[in-house]
This record gives sequence, structure tokens and C-alpha cells, in this order.
Amino acid sequence: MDMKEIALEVINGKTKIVKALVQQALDEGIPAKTILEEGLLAGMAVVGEKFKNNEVFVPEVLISARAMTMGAAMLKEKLNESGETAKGKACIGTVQGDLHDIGKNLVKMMLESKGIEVIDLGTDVSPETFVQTAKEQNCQIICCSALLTTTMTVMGDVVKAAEAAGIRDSVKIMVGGAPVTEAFCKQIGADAYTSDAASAADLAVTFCQ
Amino acid sequence: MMTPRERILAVYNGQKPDRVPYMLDLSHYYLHKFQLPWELGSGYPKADTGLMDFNRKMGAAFYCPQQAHFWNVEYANDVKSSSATRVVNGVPEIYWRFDTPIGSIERIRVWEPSSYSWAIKKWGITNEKDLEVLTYAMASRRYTPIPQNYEEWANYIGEDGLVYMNTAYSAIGYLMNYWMGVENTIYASYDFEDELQECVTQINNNILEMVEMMASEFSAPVIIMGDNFSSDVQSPSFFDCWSKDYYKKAYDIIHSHGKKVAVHVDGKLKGAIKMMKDIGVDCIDAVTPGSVGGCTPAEARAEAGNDLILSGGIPNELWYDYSPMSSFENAVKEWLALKDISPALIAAAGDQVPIGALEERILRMGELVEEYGYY
Ligand code: B12
Repeated sequence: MDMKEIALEVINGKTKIVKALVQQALDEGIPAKTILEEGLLAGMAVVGEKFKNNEVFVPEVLISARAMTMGAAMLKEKLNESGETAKGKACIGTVQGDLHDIGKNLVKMMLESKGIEVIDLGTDVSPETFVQTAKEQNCQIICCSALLTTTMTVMGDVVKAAEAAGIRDSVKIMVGGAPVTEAFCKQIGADAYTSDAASAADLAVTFCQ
Repeated sequence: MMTPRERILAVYNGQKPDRVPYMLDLSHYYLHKFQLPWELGSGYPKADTGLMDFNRKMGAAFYCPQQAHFWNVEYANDVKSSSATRVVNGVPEIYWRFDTPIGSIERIRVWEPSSYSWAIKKWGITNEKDLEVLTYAMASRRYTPIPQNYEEWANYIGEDGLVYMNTAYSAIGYLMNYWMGVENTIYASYDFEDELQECVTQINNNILEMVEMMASEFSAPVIIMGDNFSSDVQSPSFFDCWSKDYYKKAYDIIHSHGKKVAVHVDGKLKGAIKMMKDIGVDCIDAVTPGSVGGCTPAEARAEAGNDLILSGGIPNELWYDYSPMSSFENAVKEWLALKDISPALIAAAGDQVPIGALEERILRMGELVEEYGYY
């Protein structure tokens, strides 16, 4: 079976078909890693590029990401058995006082689509929780999302908390959300800002290398 | 010299006022500043004279009667609609609930003191069955207008503003922001398209009745479509499929009564301006240049053409002291410079003036409009 078929159905967002094709590929004895990388993640990479170029939007990305996630879940056991490990580890959350989570969820999905393991801390996350998780789980990246000008400043507190906990040098702090800018990112001493989830995932990959 | 009301009306009538109208939605800022309760569940029976006086004090025209009570709502006998504020573990929350013969649904918002707002705690709809309950309930929702309540607001503000009337959200807006969330609404559009279609049609037909009532029973010259519209969330193809028809019908109804219509686009602007322009809207409200809107004032004007009114201009982050005053001033001037291209322009905040904004910047905006806003 050609992995391009799976990639195509991820692009089309057809969850049921993706699941059936993943099962068929497994039955044919194709390695889980191949199905994941050449099928599911390859499809999602195309969607990510189109999203960056404003050719597709949030609805299309959500639907494709869901298809990819469902397919990937079917491979989990096999991947564990063969000792495959993620490319890197990140924790992500929407900062304290803020409950906007659609952008955060998209970033999570895009990071996962690049083979990065993501711990989702949800919304309303305190600086201490970000830092403690990163420390305990050995995350290379902390991703903070904020959509409100009143909560954006909490991102600065995450940077400070990472310094106080002595992990600032071992973790990259990425920030984003509609009102966040490159200038704000620099101002608070975070490591990186991107305006969209697909670029965030590209950058995260470089941080994991 | 024209009054604030005359200026806004002139712009809506395609004329050039003496200077760019300047109006602000200060409602959230005002509630937070004076630590007033925000009765999201019930609305206020009386005109909010305190808020209107505050607009006067800040020197900005008034237009946004948040939480006004302009009509009563009724459902059929077999539909029970309830809502109340309660305190759970010390935290205030509001629930909205429908009980119908085919089932019940309930959504909950919880008070979030740091953003002084009601955040979503629980969405009310997670599957097709819940959606059917909402469809059932909405089918029997009827409105009784209370035009005197509108007159109370309008008379109080007089020439110092123009009281817009706000429609309820479109069906998709209603589902995305109130009952299901963005993600689940989008998933539903793939997973149970027919049920969603039925629900969307039902809600939209119901809101069109409301629009008809507003346009025919009230003296408000401008009706605003309240959806928090954003082109990244309701992408062009999604809009075409789910919302375009409704918006077009609403605009046509409003125009057939000789009224004007604005649409609240508080997110990404690219593509959204054109979508709305193509079906005949008069004004794009809440235009937020910069990272939230994803374009510059000039780009917004280019997409709008010269006749469509652009109302907004100042992004949220510029109201705070972590943005230099010079950035704030430049943003106001850049917005006002659009007047050289077209008089279809209103100076306002990108959406609302946020809580905790610097009061001196609110006052400064008024000064800048006086200085740079005359034609
Ligand atoms: C949907 C929405 C809501 C929903 C949220 C539902 C949910 N579960 O998230 C509801 C209705 C609940 C809501 C409530 C409120 N909202 Co709101 N909301 C929006 C809206 C319309 C869309 C946000 C969205 O999801 N966009 C789509 C996603 C995909 O975009 P995104 O989040 O920006 O994410 C992208 C990038 O920014 C980036 N990204 C995101 N996170 C990260 C993280 C990292 C690390 C990186 C690298 C990148 C990255 O990648 C994403 C994909 O490309 C925006 C307007 C807008 N369009 O931005 C207002 C908006 C964010 N809301 C606003 C406000 C004011 C509020 C309220 C305070 C309103 C009120 N007065 O009650 C409350 C606050 C609730 C709270 N306590 O959090 C303002 C914020 C203004 C400001 N800058 O402070 C906005 C901008 C509207 C406006 N113009 O005024 N809101």
C-alpha cells in the first residue's frame, strides 16, 4: 500500500478512511514508523504549509489534525514495542486567567505532527505549573499561549519562574496567541514567537535537535 | 460644528462629516473600573445612565448598549428556559438551561476575576442528541419588542452618540461561542452535518425574525450583527457553506426598512472584509489592525474599497503602559490618515477599550481626533 493514500486522506480530513487505511497498512505488515512518518505526518505537513500560506484555515486544520491524531493513536502500541521515541518533549498551556484554548490546541497538534511529545496542561495554567512540569518531565520546550492583553504578562512570569527554578538554560520558552508580538517576546526574555501554529512546530523541531 | 450623532449618521449616509467620528465601547472598562457586577445572564432592565455619562466624561461618543433589555423572550409551554447565577465553592457561575420533552442541555460560565469576565466552564452540546434539543427549543422562541427601552437609552445620550442595536449571534456564532465551542462545531460540520444543518437553519430563521422585529419596531438607525467574526475561524469556504445565506438575508431585511447594518469582525480581517462587503454590509465594526486583525489599516482599506465604513483602529495592547505612548499615538494617527482615502471611517477601539487601560490614553485619543481628524 502506498503511504501517499493515507497522507491524502489526512489532508482531506477523512478520519474514518484514515483509520481504515492505517489498519490495512498494519495488516500488510508495514512498520508503524513508516505509516506514521510517510503517511500521517507527511499529510499533516502539507496541511501545515497550506495553513502558513493562508490557503487553508482553522476548520480544515482541525479536521486534518483530528484524522492524524486518530490514526496515530492506532500506532502507539506498535511504536512503543519497537522502542520508537519522540523527537522531543514539550509542555503547553494557556496562561493563568485565560481560557482561550483553540490556538493552543492547534499548536499542540502541529507539534505532535512533527513527532514531538506534548504534555497539555490545559488552560488557566500558573507559571509554577509550567516550570514544575518542564522540570519533572524533562521538557526541552515550554509553550505558552495567551489571547488577552491582561494575561499576556503572565508569560513574563513564566520566564522568571524558569530562571528561579534554575532550568532557564535547559528549556526554550515559546510564546504566542493573537495579541502577542515578536517585540513582546523579546521584551519578556522568551526565546521565540511565531504567529501561527505550523511555524511554531517548525521552530520547535529545531529546538529539539 | 456637527454633533457626535450627526457625524456618525453622515458617515452611514455616505457623506463627509466635519471630522472623523470618534466613539468607544467603554462598557467592560467601566464595569471593571468601578467594580460593578456584570449581569451576563439577565441584562439590565434600565438604561445604563452611568455608562453613558462615563462616555461623556471621556469625550467619546456612545454606541454600544451592552446588556440592554430591548425585548422579552418566550418559548412554547413544553420548553423550559432557565438561567441563574449561583456560587459554587466560592466562585460565581451562571448556567443557562433548556428542558424539553426530548431532553435537557445546560451550559455554564464561571467568573474569572483577573480578566473580569465570564469564562466557559462547560459547553452545553457534545453530540447530535443535544443539538436536537437546542433545535427543538429554538423552534418556539418568540420575541416581544420593548421599544420604549431603546428610546430610554437613545433619549439619554441624545446628540452625544448613536445607540446601535445588537442582534443575537448567527447560528454558527451561537454554537461556537455559547453552546459547543469552535472545535466541536467544526467537527460536527463533518460528523453530523444533517443535524447541524437543521439546527443552524432553525436558529438562523429565528434570529431573522428578531432582525425583522428590530428593523421594523425600533427607531435605531443602525443594527449591528453581534458575532465575534474572524476569517481564520469562519474561513471563506466554511462561511459560504454555513453562514453566508443568513447574513445576506439579514442585511436585506435591515436595508428594506431603510436602516444601516454593521458587522462585528473582531478577529482576522483578511478575507472577512471582502466576504461581508460582497453581500452588502455597510460597516465593519471592531477593526483591529496589527497582530489580532492580521493586517495594517491601509490593507484593511484596500480590501474594503472606498465605500465600506471601517470602524475601529486601536489594538488592545496599545492602551497599556507596556506599549510606549508614541506607539499609541502613531496608531491613532495612522488610522485617522485613512480619511484622506475615504470618509467611510470611524475612530474607535479594536473591539472594546480593555479593562485597566490607561485613562490618559482614552483622553489622548480624543485630543488626537480633534487635532488630526478634521476634513
Ligand atoms: C473564540 C474567542 C473567544 C471564546 C473562547 C473559546 C475558547 N475555548 O477558546 C470565548 C467566547 C469564550 C471568549 C471569551 C472572551 N474573550 Co475572546 N475571542 C475569541 C476570538 C473570536 C477567537 C480566538 C481564537 O480562537 N482564534 C483562533 C485561533 C486558532 O487563533 P489564536 O488563538 O490566535 O492562535 C493562533 C496563533 O496565535 C498561534 N498561537 C496561539 N497560541 C500559541 C502559542 C505558542 C507558543 C505559539 C508559538 C503560537 C501560538 O497559533 C494559532 C494557530 O495558528 C478572538 C478574536 C480573534 N480572532 O483573535 C477573541 C478575543 C481573543 N477575545 C477577547 C476578549 C476580550 C474576551 C473576553 C474577555 C470577552 C469578555 N469581555 O468577556 C472573554 C475572556 C474569557 C477568558 N477569561 O479567557 C479579545 C482579546 C483582546 C485582548 N487582546 O485582550 C479578542 C482578541 C477579541 C477582541 N478583538 O477584542 N473569546
